[in-house]
Amino acid sequence: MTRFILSRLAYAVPVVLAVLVTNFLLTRLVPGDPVTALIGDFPAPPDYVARLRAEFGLDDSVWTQLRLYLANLAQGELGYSFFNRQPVIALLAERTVNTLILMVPVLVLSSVLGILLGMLAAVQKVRWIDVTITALSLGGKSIPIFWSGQVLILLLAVHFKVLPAQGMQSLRGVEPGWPAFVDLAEHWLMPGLIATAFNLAIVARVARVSFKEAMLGDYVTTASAAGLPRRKILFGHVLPNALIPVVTVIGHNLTNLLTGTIMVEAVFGWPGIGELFMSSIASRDYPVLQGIFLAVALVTVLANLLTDILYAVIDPRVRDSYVRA
Amino acid sequence: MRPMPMAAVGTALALCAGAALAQGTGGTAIFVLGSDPSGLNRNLSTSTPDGLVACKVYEGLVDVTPEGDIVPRLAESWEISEDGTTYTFHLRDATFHDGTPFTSADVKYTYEEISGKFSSVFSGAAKAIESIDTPSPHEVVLHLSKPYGPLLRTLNCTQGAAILPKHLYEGTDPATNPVTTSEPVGTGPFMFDEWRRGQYVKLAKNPDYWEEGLPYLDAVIGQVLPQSSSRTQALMAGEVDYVNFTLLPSNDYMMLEGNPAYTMIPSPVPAIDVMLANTRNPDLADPKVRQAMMMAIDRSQLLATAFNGIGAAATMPFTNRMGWAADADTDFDALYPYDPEKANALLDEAGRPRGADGTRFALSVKYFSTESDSQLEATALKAMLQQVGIELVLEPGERVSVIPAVFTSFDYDLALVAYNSGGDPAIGLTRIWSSATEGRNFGNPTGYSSPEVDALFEEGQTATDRAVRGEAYAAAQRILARDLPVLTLHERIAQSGVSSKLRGLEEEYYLPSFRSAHFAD
Repeated sequence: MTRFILSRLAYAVPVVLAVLVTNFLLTRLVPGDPVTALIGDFPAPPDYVARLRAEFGLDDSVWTQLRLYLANLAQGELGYSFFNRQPVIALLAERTVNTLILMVPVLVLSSVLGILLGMLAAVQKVRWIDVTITALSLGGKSIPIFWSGQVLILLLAVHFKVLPAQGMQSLRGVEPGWPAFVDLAEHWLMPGLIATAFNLAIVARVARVSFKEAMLGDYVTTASAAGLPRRKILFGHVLPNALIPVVTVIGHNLTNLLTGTIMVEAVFGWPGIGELFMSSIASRDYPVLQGIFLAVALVTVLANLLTDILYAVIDPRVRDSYVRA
Repeated sequence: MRPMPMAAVGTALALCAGAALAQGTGGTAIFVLGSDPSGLNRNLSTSTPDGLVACKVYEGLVDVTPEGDIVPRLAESWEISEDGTTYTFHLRDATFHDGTPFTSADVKYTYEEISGKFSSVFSGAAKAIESIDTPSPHEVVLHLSKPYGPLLRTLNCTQGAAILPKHLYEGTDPATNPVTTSEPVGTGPFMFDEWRRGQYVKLAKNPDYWEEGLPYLDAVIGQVLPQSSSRTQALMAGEVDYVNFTLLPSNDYMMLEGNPAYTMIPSPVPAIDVMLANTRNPDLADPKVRQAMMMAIDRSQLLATAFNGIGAAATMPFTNRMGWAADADTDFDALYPYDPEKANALLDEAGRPRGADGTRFALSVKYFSTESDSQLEATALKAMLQQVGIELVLEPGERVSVIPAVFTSFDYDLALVAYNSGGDPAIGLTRIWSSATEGRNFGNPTGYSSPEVDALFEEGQTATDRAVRGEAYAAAQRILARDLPVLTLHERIAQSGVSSKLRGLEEEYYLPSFRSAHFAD
């Protein structure tokens, strides 16, 4: 198993490298000048513009810039943001934490609720429950967040004033400790639930189909014939067999951990990595963009690895094949 | 020596009296930032977020009221020599937030080493200033090579002349100095407290501010809200108190206007929406073509459809809102009334007949995709110019790609851009037509160069008498209205949205310091 994990990690190195080089070249091929974002809307002294360009290394050829970037990266150096004038690593760290505060509860909730709802839709005999769950999960995936988010804000924040409209904390004096936690939870509620609905939809739909299939297995018939209680059959036999496709989908959701919430962050002013990504594109802040590409590539590789490991945990056949390999 | 203008004295006294009165004190006001600032030094960048924060921490020698009067700040008083080339400022007892006294050396250092070298809005003044003397710590004398009309108006924070601490900047690179990038130290009413990137910049009351009793608020916080729709929502939800006119989308005005919970404050600086024509393009080289385009554009219709009826249809190259520099004899409605027939005739006369498909020629029009106004404006212009056989191809793009294409590589036919006047043609408007700003961002990208206009601009900039200055600008506008390298289409009257509870911002300039802002009881 350890060998399997190590070999998968080794494969990841060229993948991440390819992602970085491709994105490096792509961001520089797109027209746009980072210096314009810094100097503002008046004719700046040419000396100043030239000085900024030299400072950012924009006078060098793209290949020299790429070589320097990779050399620095090899030493663990992610560079310095043009626009924020901060080390990229510090910017990424703060924004990543904010996105995780939003997304970790979302992924846990959407996975657990998605599996339960899918199971409910599959096993019970009442048709309207199945239809309702299917309709809700379709809606969660297909209603655009920038619409549903705005409607929620206008309703709950502007009209009824029961929830905050923007950001992740109140700026007008909240006591630290419990009140600060409640304040954060209140800010999480709208963006968090909208993101949960979106992620839950696909889990519930796959779980429903997967459970329906697993229910048709001979072992279910056998277990029923042997007089096992229904609950035991469902959780002891059907669930483990139905989980593999569901885990794949959850793994897919996990790869979107950092960038899957760009829209949610934009609509609710959540200061996460998606918002940093958008603003860095607008200002052509190349070092920050490269940092984000690196983080996203790493998360994707790790999420896929985690999914594979989970397969092995759930399914003994997969486990055996890993050991044999 | 000439005494300080009476209006300035009057306003100064009124402000002092206001300060002495008891006001509702305390509280935290929250204003909106469209993005994180790139730095906290207005003299290095004209980006609005940088200035909205920096001009609360820093001050200039003077400030400007919305009416255009000059009021004292770090300079207590000043005298101007008869020939307009020597300005003597008497400085106030003030200290920087780190406790170091403010002196004339800080003024000299700031103007010579930072504003003079890096600030784009200060560059006119920098060229005019020949030398700076500091006879005593409380006195600074500016010697000008020739008079510069808008000098006093330039010596404020908004115009890139915030006084910086010499002791923290000397011998460093101002662009990377931490005082610029993260921890500003000024003399202003508020001191830097905390900056959480992507979230907020927090400033605390300066307890040792030089004006007794000010500021009233305990703290001000700039909240970063990148989405324009969320700014209005946050104001309506009571989460923020102030949205600067540069950040409030004009389509949202009607949601706020007429509601007693909000006050709308018009921008103190006139701005114009123009269509830049690249005269290097053979299709646009003939002034008759540009005049015909002006006649084909229904500017009142444009005001209604693209700008929600806010502002006014343009009637001259500059703006009507800057009365002294406006030209009474130039009226686009008389020169170029909306008349597609006449426009068609003029284009025929210019030797640009319609082809078989009815089209004379095609032009691309570049604009910023983030500006919803420009999108509507471009669509309306396309329909209007189609009537006279000119096909417009819309090319929206990101700011960072449109700006270099238009202003440095001149790779465009037409471009829609808004220009802020800075309150004086010499600061914000002449750059659009002047030969000196070619190749620079938001300078003159049209390829138009008129020695006559340049000379009139020079006269308007160097005269000290407002009437003489106004006459020079009027004469220049008569030429520009005839040559039309730039089609001025709309006068902007942008509005800031303020919670009605927050008072005291009406008397502030473009980037308010919040020094006398307070919450109503």
